[in-house]
Amino acid sequence: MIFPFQYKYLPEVGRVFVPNIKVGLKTIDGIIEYDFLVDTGSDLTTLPFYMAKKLEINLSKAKASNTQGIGGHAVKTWLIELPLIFPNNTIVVRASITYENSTPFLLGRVDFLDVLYSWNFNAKKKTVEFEKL
Amino acid sequence: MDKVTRNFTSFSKKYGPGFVAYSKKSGRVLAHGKDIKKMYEDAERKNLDLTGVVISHVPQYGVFSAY
Repeated sequence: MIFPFQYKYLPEVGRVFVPNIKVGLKTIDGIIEYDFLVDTGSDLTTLPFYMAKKLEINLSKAKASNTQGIGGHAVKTWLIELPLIFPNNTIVVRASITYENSTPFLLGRVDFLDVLYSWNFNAKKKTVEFEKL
Repeated sequence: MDKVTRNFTSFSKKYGPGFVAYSKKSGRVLAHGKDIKKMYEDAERKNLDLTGVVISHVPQYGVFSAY
């Protein structure tokens, strides 16, 4: 699976590569595409709280936990199973829903990078490449 | 497979921090909000067909991100 680099501009440093890729999720509105940040620093694929409603996930039946980010800030989370829909493939991963609606969509390592695919950031081709093991 | 390289700077300047729903075809922002719930409420007010958009988090312009 191959995705083109995305970019943003930061005043102090100039153009910065952003590893955003499009991933489909099956919601109550149909299959919708979301920009996920390919985050090798994130254990779990992570979504904001409101997505539980859109994905019809009953959080009272999910295992509750905590997630810690930069600065040690901890937020309540729930562990779920989430099918990630790609053009030719659907990959089910364990993911977390945070108790916040500002959380970005993060693609984490569990059930993906460590066991199914290599993640390559090809600076020559300017692509993010997922290579099946 | 997405083949378009995008620059999110304009999104950040106008809508960040928050979430946007942008058209897959034109790249134009069709709904936005300070958080995902508000973005969805904006989309519902506009009767937006969400199968034609991509939903994306937009960071605050000019601020470094660390996730």
